[in-house]
Amino acid sequence: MKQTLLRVNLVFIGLICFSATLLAQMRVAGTVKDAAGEPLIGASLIVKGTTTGTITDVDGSFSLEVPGKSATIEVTYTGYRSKTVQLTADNTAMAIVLEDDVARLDEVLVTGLASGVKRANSGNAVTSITGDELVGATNPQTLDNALFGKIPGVNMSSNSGAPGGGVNVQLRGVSTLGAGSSQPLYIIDGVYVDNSTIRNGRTQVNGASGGASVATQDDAANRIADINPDDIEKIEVLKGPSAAAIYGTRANSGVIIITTKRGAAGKTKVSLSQDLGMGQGQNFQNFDTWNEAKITNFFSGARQQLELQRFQAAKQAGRENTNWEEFFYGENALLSNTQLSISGGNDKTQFFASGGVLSEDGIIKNTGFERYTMRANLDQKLGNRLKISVSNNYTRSNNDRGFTGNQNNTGGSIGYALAYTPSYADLLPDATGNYPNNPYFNDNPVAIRDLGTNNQKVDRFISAGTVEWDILQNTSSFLKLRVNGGVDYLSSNTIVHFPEVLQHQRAQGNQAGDVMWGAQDNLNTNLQAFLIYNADLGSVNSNTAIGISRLDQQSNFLLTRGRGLNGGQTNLTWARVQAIQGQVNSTVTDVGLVAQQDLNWQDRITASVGIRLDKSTLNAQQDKYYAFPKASLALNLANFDFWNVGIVNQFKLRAAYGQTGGLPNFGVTFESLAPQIIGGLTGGQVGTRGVDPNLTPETAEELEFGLDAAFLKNRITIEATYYNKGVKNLILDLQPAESTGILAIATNAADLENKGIELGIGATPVRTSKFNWYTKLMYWQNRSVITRLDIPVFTTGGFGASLGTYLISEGYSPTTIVGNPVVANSPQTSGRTVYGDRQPDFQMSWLNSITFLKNFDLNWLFHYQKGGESINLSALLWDDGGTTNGWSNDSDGDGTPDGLRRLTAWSGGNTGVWIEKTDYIKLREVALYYTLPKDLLGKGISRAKIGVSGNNILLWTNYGSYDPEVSNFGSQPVSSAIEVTPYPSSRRLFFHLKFDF
Amino acid sequence: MKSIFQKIISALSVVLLLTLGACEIDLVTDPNNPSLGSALNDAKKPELQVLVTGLEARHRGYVQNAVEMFGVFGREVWAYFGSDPRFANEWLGLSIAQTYPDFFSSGGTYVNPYLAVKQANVLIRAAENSTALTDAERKGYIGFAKTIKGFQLLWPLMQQYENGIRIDVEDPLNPGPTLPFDQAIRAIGVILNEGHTDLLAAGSTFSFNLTSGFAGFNTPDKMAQVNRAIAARAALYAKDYSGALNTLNGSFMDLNVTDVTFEKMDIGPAHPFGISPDALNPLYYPIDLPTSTILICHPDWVEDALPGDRRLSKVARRTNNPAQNPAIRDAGGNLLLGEYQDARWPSNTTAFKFIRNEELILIYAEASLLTNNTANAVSAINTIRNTWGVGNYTGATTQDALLNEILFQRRYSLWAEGGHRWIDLRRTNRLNNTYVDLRDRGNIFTQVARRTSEINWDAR
Repeated sequence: MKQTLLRVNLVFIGLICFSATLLAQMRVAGTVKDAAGEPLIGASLIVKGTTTGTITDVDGSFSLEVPGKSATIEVTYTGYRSKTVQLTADNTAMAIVLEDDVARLDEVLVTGLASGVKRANSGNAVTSITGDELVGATNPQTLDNALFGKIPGVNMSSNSGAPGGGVNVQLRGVSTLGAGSSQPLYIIDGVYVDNSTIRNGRTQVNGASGGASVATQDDAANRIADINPDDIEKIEVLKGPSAAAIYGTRANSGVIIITTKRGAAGKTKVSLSQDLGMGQGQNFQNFDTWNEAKITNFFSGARQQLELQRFQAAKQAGRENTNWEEFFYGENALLSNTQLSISGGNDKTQFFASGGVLSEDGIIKNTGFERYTMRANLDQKLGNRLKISVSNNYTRSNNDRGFTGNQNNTGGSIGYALAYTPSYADLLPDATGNYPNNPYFNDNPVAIRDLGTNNQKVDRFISAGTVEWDILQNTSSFLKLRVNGGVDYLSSNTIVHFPEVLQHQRAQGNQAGDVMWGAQDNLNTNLQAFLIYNADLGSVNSNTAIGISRLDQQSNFLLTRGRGLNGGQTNLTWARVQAIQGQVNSTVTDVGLVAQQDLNWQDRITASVGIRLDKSTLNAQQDKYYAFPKASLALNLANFDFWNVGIVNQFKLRAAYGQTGGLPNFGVTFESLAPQIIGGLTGGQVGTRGVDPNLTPETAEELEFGLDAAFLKNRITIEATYYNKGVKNLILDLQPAESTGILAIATNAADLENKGIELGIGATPVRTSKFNWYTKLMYWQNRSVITRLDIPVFTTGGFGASLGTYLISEGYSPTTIVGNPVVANSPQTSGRTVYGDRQPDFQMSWLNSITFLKNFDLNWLFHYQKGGESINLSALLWDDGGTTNGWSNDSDGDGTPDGLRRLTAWSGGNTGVWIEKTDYIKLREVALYYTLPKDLLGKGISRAKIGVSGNNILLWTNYGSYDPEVSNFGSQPVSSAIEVTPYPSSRRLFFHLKFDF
Repeated sequence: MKSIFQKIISALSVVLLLTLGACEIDLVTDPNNPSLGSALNDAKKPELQVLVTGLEARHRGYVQNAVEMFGVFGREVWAYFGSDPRFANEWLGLSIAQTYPDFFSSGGTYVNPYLAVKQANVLIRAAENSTALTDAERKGYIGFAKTIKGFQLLWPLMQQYENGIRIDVEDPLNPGPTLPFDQAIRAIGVILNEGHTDLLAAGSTFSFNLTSGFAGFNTPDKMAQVNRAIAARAALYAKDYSGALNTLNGSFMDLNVTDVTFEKMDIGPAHPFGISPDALNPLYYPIDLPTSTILICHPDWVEDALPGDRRLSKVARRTNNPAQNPAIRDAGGNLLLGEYQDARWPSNTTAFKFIRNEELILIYAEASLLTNNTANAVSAINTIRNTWGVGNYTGATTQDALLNEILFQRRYSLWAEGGHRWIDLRRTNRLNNTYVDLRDRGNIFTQVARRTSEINWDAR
């Protein structure tokens, strides 16, 4: 077990104990290299049973004084299989070769807040992704975008193609129906980080939804976008409660643990990389070009004559066949990513510092994303027993996301307006910059694009500090204290602005000109303190950790609006009508008590039990502790003496059980009055929400079984997992009869179940020095079903049943899509027709990595989704506006144009017209790199690499819009997969340059 | 070297200290709003004032949907709302012959009025639980609350009609039964009568402030007149004509109106509107500006008007920008242009009168007619006609002819004030295409289907 605690052992590296008292000593020196003969820098060598050790230098060389007459030295290096070397005499020319750890059996996984376990002994299926796997091939938009196809058991979907991201990440099915967070908990270097999606009020300004309360059609990015993927050393994904139980009350949707890069002792290393790329809109829908016949077909009466005149005018000007889709979505977006990092240190001090500038244009003019990041990570040993680590990160993000998606009565969406814009429309500004009125819609989308503003700027500090104190240590045990604190401070400023010159604003009379300013400050602070005691009890190693964890969150949000602006002013003081759209302050405190016990019998049997007790002010009973237990067992059959199947070098059976919690949203436990000004007086309106005093947190429990096997010295690896994750006491709004004036009471009203399979097969079919091919096939599926529902069957999400909505009903998947026609006597489907399920039947991904001619690396990653449905309301709008490709065709020969036939079918009560399958195959990543031979490099350059890559460059789908991944309402637990003319997704192509000095 | 024991002790004390400090939490209350509990638990006058004003705010929630949706049902107006085809397809019944549960954009005349009812019930309980009030003061709060509650209950009942509605809705987890129309309208009458009794015992002044909407009606005795006016409307809907005449006696009805004093037709309490953070008058549209979202006056209303009727000034012609809606077409498939729009609102902050003298005169006419007092009916009809410049009534004086005339006058006097036309034709068995112009090829709905939440609650 000693070697399993790599992180723990690293603390001891370089410590020299009692050297003066030693009677006998051996001297050992040599090199550590990989199979290809490349030196491994920073590999660690530790004398077993002691804290004596060293690490290799920049040439892979080491030198060590070993006490006694014989010793066992353990050699470890991240990403390689560790090795033990027996020593009985001086040896100053050792040549140690470490094998690539393709199956990552030696990788240490985080299973507790203060302990880790080697993958080979883990009772859970934990996916880990190295920084190189994350962004080594190509440059996805954001950190979460870089995870696509790399985690079995996750259902991910981009909400739109807008620069700056916005991704819905759901681990192992549905974990909440909306009361809690459906997104995983992100922990970076021990800091609970904010991944909220911040309201900017676009939804009110463009009228997508009225009033102040509905926030979900903003198409804002989730704030994991602020994290620089190039700073990441490793990501570990705790997919379900069995692995994440120790994170307790916030872990129902899984935990994503991110470790950033740190320095290593040795020569100072400088890395510089520059990526230059281009983004292009894809999967254009090729709207109809209009002609006299089509105009006659579509328009009637006086309007027909008018349109024919307009068409003639356009024809004379030579613009009757304008391709508006190309015009708006056809920009070649410039993408640039510059990263500089410096790392190094000595045995006492190690540092890593980086700076990054990411600048991406969008495929729509005036949209883009910029991110500036700085990081400084420092590790310092103080004496022999104290180690301090700090991580500091500053990020500034600047995001222009434009106007797409839904709107109402404003024309404030390019995509929506395009649906109604014929190819001969006259929209371009004249020589003096005046935009013509759009007679087909509320506004001219060219003016919206050119004059509207939708910007978010985020400044963010994430800092962490860890102190480790080795209280005592001897050859068979140690006790240490670890205290870890972190801060995540985020300040967001948004502006959404429509100037008064816009067509739809002019119609507002003296209130023309509309601006919405949003400001949000989020402060998360967390503190953890753990005592860890490790002891060898005969042949069993025991590790005990107890500790506490505290999280405080404060959030202040202010959204203000000004209407009636002159001269393009955006300052609120210039507005004729000034309004506070919303001010929301929130305060949350969680406290957790943790205990975990791990036992390891000679790497044969590994067992772990733990419990976390949590309380949170989000609960109705704020001071009550809720318990979340866990237990796991791993059986490494191949490590038993009886195992004699030579070709099978690992055969592990594992089982794990755990519970986690999901907290109610802030506010649902309060019964309050809401303010409304009327006639100069301030009224308090009784809220529409009632409170259940017995509300408890949602609780997920999961039982996971699996088998991990490795064959032929890890040439072939298999990982298979089955899980059954139940979520009990789901918080749902009980809807009383609306006549009572109480529209919702949050109660524990349902249970659901997610069952799934995750399979991974990795192989190295060819392994020669000239050609090395690694391939990995992953398969995962999840089935969700509601097993208890104490409140009436209901539908949720979307725009009501006639436009498709989601069904919550016992015996049905919570992501079931229903719509019209009404089905008589079918209370279990809420009287609606069932059309499908948002969740796919299964997903697969295929990763390949080929090294050839020694210096070439070729990678590609395919991602296949089978099944799943989405509500495509873009198609409705395109048909309604007559722009659909082939609108006028009459494929069934009934004399009615296809577009009109679909519309009529829908308005006659068939929602199914707009519900489409979302099967797809995407080439997520493809990359080819060439590493320049060393003799070509100039002095001082240790490595140079050039490459080309693509991200999402190929898409095969029958889905009738830009991308089957879409959500008009952002990251919804249930009701995503509804599209309304979104920002189209793009393919991204890059040229890369990377230098190490 | 310190002993191991010492080290462990010191480490444990560090952890213990951290634990003790870290486990303490401050309980969190709503940092953004006052709690309902404090309002219900011995509220003082400032807290009650907040509830009173809150009731005024909830009180106006029905206006937009009543004018628009009920107006479309009775073809007083067309909703040229380009952003959602259902405003045409479903409200006009172009694609459907029946409404369905949670009918498109119909909550404004169901959920919103019930929110006002909830607010009134909370105000009543808060006043009852307060020890800071004299008995007369308490009756002032309760009388006002019951008056508004009675008015608000009429809206869901008008929407649901034969489906009936719940009246006892105080306990969200234990609401009373859904009463059929006849029982429900009688129950509303009882609530109004209770409120009236309270107001008469509420002293000479209220101990709370009302907005300018109640200017002229902000004392208990004047509020009692408002209560009687609402009771008259309820009695008319209950077909209790003698009751209607009785209640009109206690109301602010003034029959003495001429074309010179036409402004007296407008006497009545109102919903005020204001710029943000107040709410804007939802019926205001600038005259003749290009837009695809506008409430249009049905052309039939203009076409059927008597020559010289000054009530036609309620609408303005969209000379330059007739509105279009692709779904609103005639039998020949031609677009029906929206040529007239609402012109009653000088600005987007103009108040909306929720019950007016003109309606009371028309209730008087109808109730007189149906209690066989034809002379009074004709006199009241002529008061209306002469005020608006269309001269005395000269037609037949049979009950049927006079009822038609009263309905005709109501159509012009009460145009777009909350769906009177639809309600009037339905209660007089005239809701058919003789009286409703269906050039848009739509269907006429008698009522809106019961809400899903109500069906579900009963199915529990």
